[in-house]
Amino acid sequence: MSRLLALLSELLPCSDREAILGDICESELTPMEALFELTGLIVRRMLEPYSDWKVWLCLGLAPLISLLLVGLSVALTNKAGQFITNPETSATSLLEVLRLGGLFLAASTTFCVAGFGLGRRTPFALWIAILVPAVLCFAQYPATTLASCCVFLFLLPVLGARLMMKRLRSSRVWSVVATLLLLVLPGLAIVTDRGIQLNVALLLIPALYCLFSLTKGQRYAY
Amino acid sequence: MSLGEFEYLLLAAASTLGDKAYGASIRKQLLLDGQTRSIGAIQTGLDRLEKKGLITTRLGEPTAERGGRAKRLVKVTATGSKAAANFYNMIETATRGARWAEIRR
Repeated sequence: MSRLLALLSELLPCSDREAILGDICESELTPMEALFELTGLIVRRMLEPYSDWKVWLCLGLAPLISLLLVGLSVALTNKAGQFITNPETSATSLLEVLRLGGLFLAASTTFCVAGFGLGRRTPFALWIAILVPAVLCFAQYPATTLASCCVFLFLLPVLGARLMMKRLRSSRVWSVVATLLLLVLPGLAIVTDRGIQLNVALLLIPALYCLFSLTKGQRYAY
Repeated sequence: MSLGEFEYLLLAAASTLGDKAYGASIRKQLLLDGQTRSIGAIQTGLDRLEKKGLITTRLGEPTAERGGRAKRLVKVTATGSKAAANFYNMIETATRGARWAEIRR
Protein backbone atom coordinates (compact mmCIF):
# COMPACT_ATOMS: atom_id res chain seq x y z
CA MET A 1 0.00 0.00 0.00
CA SER A 2 2.84 2.40 0.89
CA ARG A 3 4.31 1.71 -2.55
CA LEU A 4 1.00 2.62 -4.17
CA LEU A 5 0.89 5.83 -2.11
CA ALA A 6 4.44 6.67 -3.18
CA LEU A 7 3.48 6.08 -6.82
CA LEU A 8 0.35 8.22 -6.55
CA SER A 9 2.26 10.98 -4.81
CA GLU A 10 4.41 11.28 -7.96
CA LEU A 11 1.43 13.08 -9.48
CA LEU A 12 1.86 15.89 -6.93
CA PRO A 13 4.38 18.70 -7.36
CA CYS A 14 7.76 17.91 -5.75
CA SER A 15 7.42 20.82 -3.35
CA ASP A 16 4.18 19.41 -1.90
CA ARG A 17 4.94 15.69 -1.91
CA GLU A 18 7.05 15.62 1.24
CA ALA A 19 4.66 17.69 3.33
CA ILE A 20 1.53 15.83 2.22
CA LEU A 21 2.98 12.35 2.73
CA GLY A 22 4.24 13.52 6.12
CA ASP A 23 0.76 14.78 7.04
CA ILE A 24 -0.76 11.45 6.02
CA CYS A 25 1.87 9.58 8.05
CA GLU A 26 1.33 11.77 11.11
CA SER A 27 -2.48 11.58 10.93
CA GLU A 28 -2.28 7.81 11.65
CA LEU A 29 -4.80 6.92 8.96
CA THR A 30 -5.55 3.35 7.92
CA PRO A 31 -4.00 2.41 4.55
CA MET A 32 -7.39 2.69 2.83
CA GLU A 33 -8.09 6.09 4.41
CA ALA A 34 -4.63 7.27 3.38
CA LEU A 35 -5.24 6.12 -0.18
CA PHE A 36 -8.62 7.85 -0.22
CA GLU A 37 -7.17 11.09 1.17
CA LEU A 38 -4.29 11.16 -1.29
CA THR A 39 -6.51 10.35 -4.28
CA GLY A 40 -8.94 13.08 -3.19
CA LEU A 41 -6.13 15.61 -2.97
CA ILE A 42 -4.75 14.68 -6.40
CA VAL A 43 -8.22 14.97 -7.98
CA ARG A 44 -8.73 18.36 -6.29
CA ARG A 45 -5.36 19.57 -7.56
CA MET A 46 -6.13 18.36 -11.08
CA LEU A 47 -9.54 20.00 -11.21
CA GLU A 48 -8.55 23.24 -9.45
CA PRO A 49 -7.23 25.04 -12.58
CA TYR A 50 -10.56 24.43 -14.33
CA SER A 51 -12.30 26.74 -11.86
CA ASP A 52 -10.70 29.64 -13.76
CA TRP A 53 -12.91 30.85 -16.63
CA LYS A 54 -9.85 31.98 -18.58
CA VAL A 55 -8.74 28.35 -18.93
CA TRP A 56 -12.13 27.51 -20.44
CA LEU A 57 -11.87 30.51 -22.78
CA CYS A 58 -8.46 29.27 -23.87
CA LEU A 59 -9.65 25.68 -24.37
CA GLY A 60 -12.68 26.95 -26.29
CA LEU A 61 -10.63 29.13 -28.62
CA ALA A 62 -7.86 26.59 -29.19
CA PRO A 63 -9.82 24.42 -31.71
CA LEU A 64 -10.87 27.52 -33.69
CA ILE A 65 -7.32 28.84 -33.79
CA SER A 66 -6.10 25.35 -34.69
CA LEU A 67 -8.50 25.29 -37.67
CA LEU A 68 -7.27 28.70 -38.78
CA LEU A 69 -3.66 27.55 -38.55
CA VAL A 70 -4.51 24.37 -40.46
CA GLY A 71 -6.02 26.62 -43.20
CA LEU A 72 -2.91 28.78 -43.26
CA SER A 73 -0.69 25.68 -43.39
CA VAL A 74 -2.57 24.29 -46.39
CA ALA A 75 -2.64 27.70 -48.14
CA LEU A 76 1.09 28.17 -47.64
CA THR A 77 1.88 24.64 -48.84
CA ASN A 78 -0.28 25.10 -51.97
CA LYS A 79 1.25 28.49 -52.78
CA ALA A 80 4.75 27.18 -52.25
CA GLY A 81 3.93 24.08 -54.34
CA GLN A 82 2.63 26.23 -57.19
CA PHE A 83 5.72 28.41 -57.04
CA ILE A 84 8.09 25.43 -57.14
CA THR A 85 6.32 23.44 -59.86
CA ASN A 86 5.46 26.31 -62.18
CA PRO A 87 8.54 27.28 -64.18
CA GLU A 88 7.02 30.58 -65.26
CA THR A 89 6.69 31.94 -61.73
CA SER A 90 7.09 35.63 -61.31
CA ALA A 91 8.66 37.58 -58.50
CA THR A 92 5.16 38.54 -57.38
CA SER A 93 4.21 34.94 -56.59
CA LEU A 94 7.48 34.47 -54.66
CA LEU A 95 6.65 37.58 -52.69
CA GLU A 96 3.18 36.19 -52.00
CA VAL A 97 4.68 32.93 -50.67
CA LEU A 98 7.05 34.91 -48.43
CA ARG A 99 4.28 37.14 -47.16
CA LEU A 100 2.01 34.20 -46.48
CA GLY A 101 4.92 32.49 -44.72
CA GLY A 102 5.42 35.59 -42.56
CA LEU A 103 1.76 35.67 -41.61
CA PHE A 104 1.84 31.93 -40.92
CA LEU A 105 4.85 32.25 -38.60
CA ALA A 106 3.50 35.30 -36.81
CA ALA A 107 0.04 33.77 -36.32
CA SER A 108 1.42 30.41 -35.12
CA THR A 109 3.83 31.91 -32.61
CA THR A 110 1.44 34.56 -31.30
CA PHE A 111 -1.39 32.11 -30.74
CA CYS A 112 1.02 29.58 -29.24
CA VAL A 113 2.51 32.07 -26.80
CA ALA A 114 -0.96 33.39 -25.90
CA GLY A 115 -2.57 29.97 -25.59
CA PHE A 116 0.19 28.28 -23.63
CA GLY A 117 0.65 31.36 -21.50
CA LEU A 118 -2.95 31.29 -20.37
CA GLY A 119 -3.54 27.56 -20.53
CA ARG A 120 -0.18 26.54 -19.10
CA ARG A 121 -1.86 25.05 -16.08
CA THR A 122 -3.70 22.58 -18.31
CA PRO A 123 -1.10 21.77 -20.98
CA PHE A 124 -2.37 18.28 -21.89
CA ALA A 125 -5.96 19.44 -22.32
CA LEU A 126 -4.69 22.32 -24.44
CA TRP A 127 -2.66 20.03 -26.68
CA ILE A 128 -5.73 17.84 -27.21
CA ALA A 129 -7.83 20.93 -28.07
CA ILE A 130 -5.19 21.95 -30.62
CA LEU A 131 -4.55 18.53 -32.16
CA VAL A 132 -8.10 17.16 -32.48
CA PRO A 133 -9.21 19.61 -35.25
CA ALA A 134 -5.96 19.02 -37.15
CA VAL A 135 -6.35 15.24 -36.91
CA LEU A 136 -9.99 15.52 -38.08
CA CYS A 137 -8.90 17.63 -41.07
CA PHE A 138 -6.17 15.10 -41.83
CA ALA A 139 -8.77 12.29 -41.74
CA GLN A 140 -10.89 14.19 -44.31
CA TYR A 141 -8.17 13.97 -46.93
CA PRO A 142 -9.07 11.41 -49.62
CA ALA A 143 -5.66 9.77 -49.42
CA THR A 144 -3.26 9.88 -46.55
CA THR A 145 -0.27 10.80 -48.66
CA LEU A 146 2.73 12.77 -47.49
CA ALA A 147 1.20 15.92 -49.01
CA SER A 148 -1.86 15.65 -46.75
CA CYS A 149 0.47 15.96 -43.74
CA CYS A 150 0.69 19.68 -44.56
CA VAL A 151 -2.28 20.20 -42.19
CA PHE A 152 0.20 19.67 -39.35
CA LEU A 153 2.69 22.22 -40.71
CA PHE A 154 1.64 24.82 -38.12
CA LEU A 155 2.93 22.51 -35.36
CA LEU A 156 6.54 23.31 -36.31
CA PRO A 157 6.43 27.03 -35.36
CA VAL A 158 4.11 26.18 -32.44
CA LEU A 159 6.63 23.69 -31.03
CA GLY A 160 9.45 26.15 -31.72
CA ALA A 161 7.64 28.93 -29.87
CA ARG A 162 6.83 26.53 -27.02
CA LEU A 163 10.49 25.58 -26.61
CA MET A 164 11.51 29.21 -26.83
CA MET A 165 9.00 30.13 -24.12
CA LYS A 166 10.52 27.53 -21.81
CA ARG A 167 14.07 28.64 -22.41
CA LEU A 168 13.77 32.39 -22.54
CA ARG A 169 11.18 32.80 -19.78
CA SER A 170 10.43 36.19 -21.32
CA SER A 171 7.62 35.19 -23.61
CA ARG A 172 6.06 38.61 -23.40
CA VAL A 173 8.86 40.25 -25.39
CA TRP A 174 8.48 37.86 -28.28
CA SER A 175 4.72 37.87 -28.01
CA VAL A 176 4.67 41.65 -28.42
CA VAL A 177 6.93 41.40 -31.49
CA ALA A 178 4.84 38.60 -33.00
CA THR A 179 1.62 40.45 -32.25
CA LEU A 180 2.88 43.59 -33.97
CA LEU A 181 3.85 41.49 -36.98
CA LEU A 182 0.43 39.93 -36.96
CA LEU A 183 -1.22 43.33 -36.80
CA VAL A 184 0.90 44.80 -39.58
CA LEU A 185 1.09 41.90 -42.04
CA PRO A 186 -2.63 41.48 -42.84
CA GLY A 187 -2.96 45.25 -43.06
CA LEU A 188 -0.47 45.27 -45.93
CA ALA A 189 -2.77 42.99 -47.93
CA ILE A 190 -0.36 40.13 -47.65
CA VAL A 191 -3.00 37.55 -48.29
CA THR A 192 -5.51 37.92 -51.03
CA ASP A 193 -7.95 35.65 -49.18
CA ARG A 194 -10.17 38.00 -47.19
CA GLY A 195 -11.59 35.09 -45.19
CA ILE A 196 -8.18 34.38 -43.66
CA GLN A 197 -7.65 38.07 -42.94
CA LEU A 198 -11.00 38.27 -41.15
CA ASN A 199 -10.36 35.09 -39.14
CA VAL A 200 -6.93 36.31 -38.05
CA ALA A 201 -8.38 39.68 -37.06
CA LEU A 202 -11.24 38.12 -35.07
CA LEU A 203 -9.13 35.54 -33.28
CA LEU A 204 -6.40 38.05 -32.57
CA ILE A 205 -8.57 39.90 -30.06
CA PRO A 206 -8.96 37.03 -27.56
CA ALA A 207 -5.33 36.00 -28.20
CA LEU A 208 -4.18 39.50 -27.28
CA TYR A 209 -6.36 39.44 -24.21
CA CYS A 210 -4.77 36.13 -23.19
CA LEU A 211 -1.29 37.53 -23.74
CA PHE A 212 -1.71 40.54 -21.54
CA SER A 213 -3.63 38.88 -18.72
CA LEU A 214 -1.03 36.26 -17.88
CA THR A 215 -0.50 35.59 -14.19
CA LYS A 216 2.39 33.83 -12.54
CA GLY A 217 2.81 31.47 -9.61
CA GLN A 218 -0.06 29.12 -10.41
CA ARG A 219 0.00 25.37 -10.10
CA TYR A 220 0.08 23.09 -13.09
CA ALA A 221 -2.49 20.43 -13.79
CA TYR A 222 -3.11 17.97 -16.62
CA MET B 1 -10.46 40.70 1.10
CA SER B 2 -13.50 38.45 1.30
CA LEU B 3 -13.20 35.20 3.19
CA GLY B 4 -15.18 31.98 3.11
CA GLU B 5 -16.21 30.07 6.21
CA PHE B 6 -13.63 27.34 5.70
CA GLU B 7 -10.89 29.87 4.99
CA TYR B 8 -11.75 31.61 8.25
CA LEU B 9 -11.57 28.29 10.13
CA LEU B 10 -8.13 27.61 8.64
CA LEU B 11 -6.87 31.06 9.58
CA ALA B 12 -8.25 30.70 13.12
CA ALA B 13 -6.65 27.26 13.57
CA ALA B 14 -3.30 28.43 12.15
CA SER B 15 -3.36 31.50 14.39
CA THR B 16 -4.17 29.38 17.46
CA LEU B 17 -1.34 26.94 16.71
CA GLY B 18 1.20 29.70 16.04
CA ASP B 19 4.64 28.27 15.17
CA LYS B 20 3.26 24.72 15.21
CA ALA B 21 0.74 25.29 12.41
CA TYR B 22 1.02 22.84 9.51
CA GLY B 23 -1.36 20.54 7.61
CA ALA B 24 -1.70 17.69 10.13
CA SER B 25 -1.78 19.93 13.23
CA ILE B 26 -4.41 22.21 11.65
CA ARG B 27 -6.51 19.13 10.86
CA LYS B 28 -6.22 18.00 14.51
CA GLN B 29 -7.14 21.50 15.74
CA LEU B 30 -10.21 21.54 13.49
CA LEU B 31 -11.20 18.10 14.80
CA LEU B 32 -10.97 19.47 18.36
CA ASP B 33 -13.27 22.30 17.27
CA GLY B 34 -15.74 19.74 15.92
CA GLN B 35 -14.86 20.19 12.25
CA THR B 36 -13.90 17.07 10.30
CA ARG B 37 -11.97 17.98 7.14
CA SER B 38 -9.85 15.89 4.81
CA ILE B 39 -6.13 16.48 4.28
CA GLY B 40 -6.92 17.34 0.65
CA ALA B 41 -9.46 20.00 1.64
CA ILE B 42 -6.99 21.54 4.09
CA GLN B 43 -4.13 21.58 1.59
CA THR B 44 -6.33 23.09 -1.13
CA GLY B 45 -7.62 25.69 1.35
CA LEU B 46 -4.06 26.57 2.37
CA ASP B 47 -3.10 26.93 -1.31
CA ARG B 48 -5.98 29.34 -1.81
CA LEU B 49 -5.07 31.39 1.28
CA GLU B 50 -1.43 31.55 0.18
CA LYS B 51 -2.47 32.73 -3.27
CA LYS B 52 -4.53 35.50 -1.64
CA GLY B 53 -1.52 36.49 0.48
CA LEU B 54 -3.31 35.70 3.75
CA ILE B 55 -0.72 33.13 4.84
CA THR B 56 2.86 32.26 4.00
CA THR B 57 4.25 28.73 4.02
CA ARG B 58 7.73 27.26 4.26
CA LEU B 59 9.15 23.79 4.60
CA GLY B 60 10.23 22.93 8.15
CA GLU B 61 12.61 20.33 9.51
CA PRO B 62 11.85 16.61 8.94
CA THR B 63 10.68 14.71 12.03
CA ALA B 64 10.67 11.00 12.91
CA GLU B 65 6.92 10.84 13.63
CA ARG B 66 6.30 11.92 10.04
CA GLY B 67 8.56 9.21 8.61
CA GLY B 68 11.42 11.68 8.22
CA ARG B 69 9.36 14.05 6.09
CA ALA B 70 9.29 17.83 6.32
CA LYS B 71 6.31 19.93 7.43
CA ARG B 72 4.73 22.72 5.43
CA LEU B 73 4.68 25.33 8.18
CA VAL B 74 1.99 27.99 7.96
CA LYS B 75 2.17 31.59 9.17
CA VAL B 76 -0.76 33.98 9.10
CA THR B 77 0.21 37.31 7.55
CA ALA B 78 -0.91 40.74 8.78
CA THR B 79 -3.38 40.86 5.87
CA GLY B 80 -4.66 37.43 6.90
CA SER B 81 -5.17 38.53 10.51
CA LYS B 82 -7.01 41.64 9.34
CA ALA B 83 -9.23 39.65 6.96
CA ALA B 84 -10.05 37.13 9.72
CA ALA B 85 -10.83 39.94 12.19
CA ASN B 86 -13.13 41.59 9.63
CA PHE B 87 -14.91 38.28 9.02
CA TYR B 88 -15.34 37.72 12.75
CA ASN B 89 -16.69 41.26 13.27
CA MET B 90 -19.05 40.85 10.35
CA ILE B 91 -20.49 37.61 11.80
CA GLU B 92 -20.75 39.10 15.28
CA THR B 93 -22.48 42.24 14.00
CA ALA B 94 -24.82 40.32 11.74
CA THR B 95 -25.73 37.88 14.51
CA ARG B 96 -26.50 40.55 17.11
CA GLY B 97 -30.21 40.42 17.76
CA ALA B 98 -30.71 37.03 16.15
CA ARG B 99 -32.58 34.49 18.26
CA TRP B 100 -29.75 31.97 18.24
CA ALA B 101 -27.19 34.54 19.43
CA GLU B 102 -27.96 33.57 23.03
CA ILE B 103 -27.39 29.87 22.39
CA ARG B 104 -23.95 28.81 23.59
CA ARG B 105 -22.40 25.40 23.27
